[in-house]
Amino acid sequence: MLAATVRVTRDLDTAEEAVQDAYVRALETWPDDGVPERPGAWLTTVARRRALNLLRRGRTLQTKLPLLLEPAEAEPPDRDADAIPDDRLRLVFTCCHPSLSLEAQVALTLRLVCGVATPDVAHAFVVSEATMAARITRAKKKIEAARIRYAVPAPDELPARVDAALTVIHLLYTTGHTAHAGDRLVRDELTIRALDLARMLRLLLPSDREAAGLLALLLVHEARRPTRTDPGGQMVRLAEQDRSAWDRERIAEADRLVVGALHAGPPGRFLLQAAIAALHAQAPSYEETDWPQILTLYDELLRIWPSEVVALNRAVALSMVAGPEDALAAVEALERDGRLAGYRYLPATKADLLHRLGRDAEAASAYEAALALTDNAVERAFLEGRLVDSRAMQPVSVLSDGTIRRMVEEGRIRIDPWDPGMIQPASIDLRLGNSFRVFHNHRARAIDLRDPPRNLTEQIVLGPDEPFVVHPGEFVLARTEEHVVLPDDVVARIEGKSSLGRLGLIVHATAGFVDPGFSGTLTLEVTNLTRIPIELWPGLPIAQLSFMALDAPAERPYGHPDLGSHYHGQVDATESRYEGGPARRGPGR
Amino acid sequence: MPQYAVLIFERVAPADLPEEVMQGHMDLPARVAEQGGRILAGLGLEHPDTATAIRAGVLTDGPFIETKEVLGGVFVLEARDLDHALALARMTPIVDGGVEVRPLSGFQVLD
Repeated sequence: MLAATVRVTRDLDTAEEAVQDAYVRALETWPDDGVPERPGAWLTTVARRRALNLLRRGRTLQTKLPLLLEPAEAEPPDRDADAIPDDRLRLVFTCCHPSLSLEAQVALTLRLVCGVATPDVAHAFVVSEATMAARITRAKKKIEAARIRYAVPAPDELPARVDAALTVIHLLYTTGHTAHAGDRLVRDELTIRALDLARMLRLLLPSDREAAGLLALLLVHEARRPTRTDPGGQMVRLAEQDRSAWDRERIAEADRLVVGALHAGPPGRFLLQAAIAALHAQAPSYEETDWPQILTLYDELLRIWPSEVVALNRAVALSMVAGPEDALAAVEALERDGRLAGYRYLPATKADLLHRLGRDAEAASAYEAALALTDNAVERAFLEGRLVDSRAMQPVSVLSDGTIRRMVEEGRIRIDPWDPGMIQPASIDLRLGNSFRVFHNHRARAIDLRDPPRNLTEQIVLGPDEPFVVHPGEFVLARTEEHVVLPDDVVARIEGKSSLGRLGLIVHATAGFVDPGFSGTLTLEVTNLTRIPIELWPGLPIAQLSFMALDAPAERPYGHPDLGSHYHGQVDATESRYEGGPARRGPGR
Repeated sequence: MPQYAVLIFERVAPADLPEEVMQGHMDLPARVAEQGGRILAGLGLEHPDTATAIRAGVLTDGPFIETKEVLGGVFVLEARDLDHALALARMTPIVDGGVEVRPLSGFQVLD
């Protein structure tokens, strides 16, 4: 009725007012005169008359251009029934005009096409009523000022404009389907409205394959909706959903739509998505899904609609066809691309793939990243559950060569200078630096640990091609060539190299532990256990560093202001900065 | 008919526009008329380097707003509605940039 009235007024506010007046008239007259035979038509006629009166009155008050673009013929009520579908279509195209912002398009469609009250529209999009009212008013003003046509677009514009309208309806549905914020996953109101709209567009544009595609897509979503959460409200993944509870009638209707539209011509993006959804819906189980066919459909979808979100979904299909390794590479490429930064399904997908590869430590941090981007309570609960699972499944925490390489490449562990050739099966080699500290034994009488003497050592820096000779029984400090930076959830251990140990060379004196968060070169405590001097040459591999993942990031990593962190950022071999007894701070490495 | 300003934003300086683009601008009024619209007026602007801005009485060199795409010209269009105006504005020859279509609240030429 609003749609039919707008056609007369060309002004949404006037039309809304007229419609309200018509309802008031109905409340006043129907109890006495009886309900007319066709109440809808009656109301429309009254509203249109009222609108014309309002307009005439308005026109005498202002000299602006007349708002009326179409002649206001007094149509007999009989013709209204035929006119209404056309009018609703025009109203959809007005509300979904691409010159309006997408959020305005969605709000206007809900408000004007579906007749949802402004406070309810505001609630659905988690904004204040005032914000939503202002948004709708602004959009209406633009429609009026820019003269957005209240008409079905010309044939050459139609595909793009239908796509815009379908996008709005799809957004409406997905907003209701996976409400981003709030405790209820599904906001029934929005999903039902969106489904109604999709059905309406399908009826009004019977030859449009994309309109058929959108309806089919929403039907499949709707058919699976009750199984997306368990009775406790927890999210259930597609693989674990109870397929026997899916609405077979809706799925069959969707399938008929998809098959019919696919036969009619090349598919657009909504039809392809519907075809993918329908394949899922028909599979007896997640594993028995026709994944190769789904991957083909995704390839086609990506070709006509190159979007990172599609590429991410394609990666999931790829994992079922070619395995999680290939899929992870695809997801990591998307991650590097950066355009999906902030999109919570990217880290969530990555986490699932890592989990399937048994790389649970990395999966856990990816789940954490996804959690940081999600404020829907139901999805948060799901991700938290996955996070706990992946943490519980970390039987071994020493990082393997592949993990070390990846973490260095991703910059989570920094080794500078970095040479991939230094990677050992579960460690990396460290090379000897050129700076040493030797002890002035003649100066100090004894080392009193309550107050250790300062300047006990002297720095020696070697020139090029100069060896450092460690004499039997001598103890000196050296440093690694490499500067090492650890993240908050990894510790490292310096170990001697087996071949050097067999020569009697010790590289640390019980202090091989490198704290999470440490940054600096590593000071080596070198001792010669043999009876003959050993020549050390800077640049030779001298020690190895192994890495262990923590069960959770350290709350106070090395360098934290609460800690002493005496050696944070050290560059040269650094002598002890021990501060003594238990009441004072411990040494740290 | 409603009136719209079409603002032409172009990275190529007016003096550097290729011959065929200049010719395109010359031909535009006739092409718009063929499509049922009308160009009422057109302004070509010199390069922004030649502009002087006045802010709170203070003169500064250059345009009021610095942008990568430079406002190169404006024309005033009559069209049936926004869709019509957009279809007509699409015909504007552009090398590197685009146009903005804005409804007019008023347009006057004084004697």
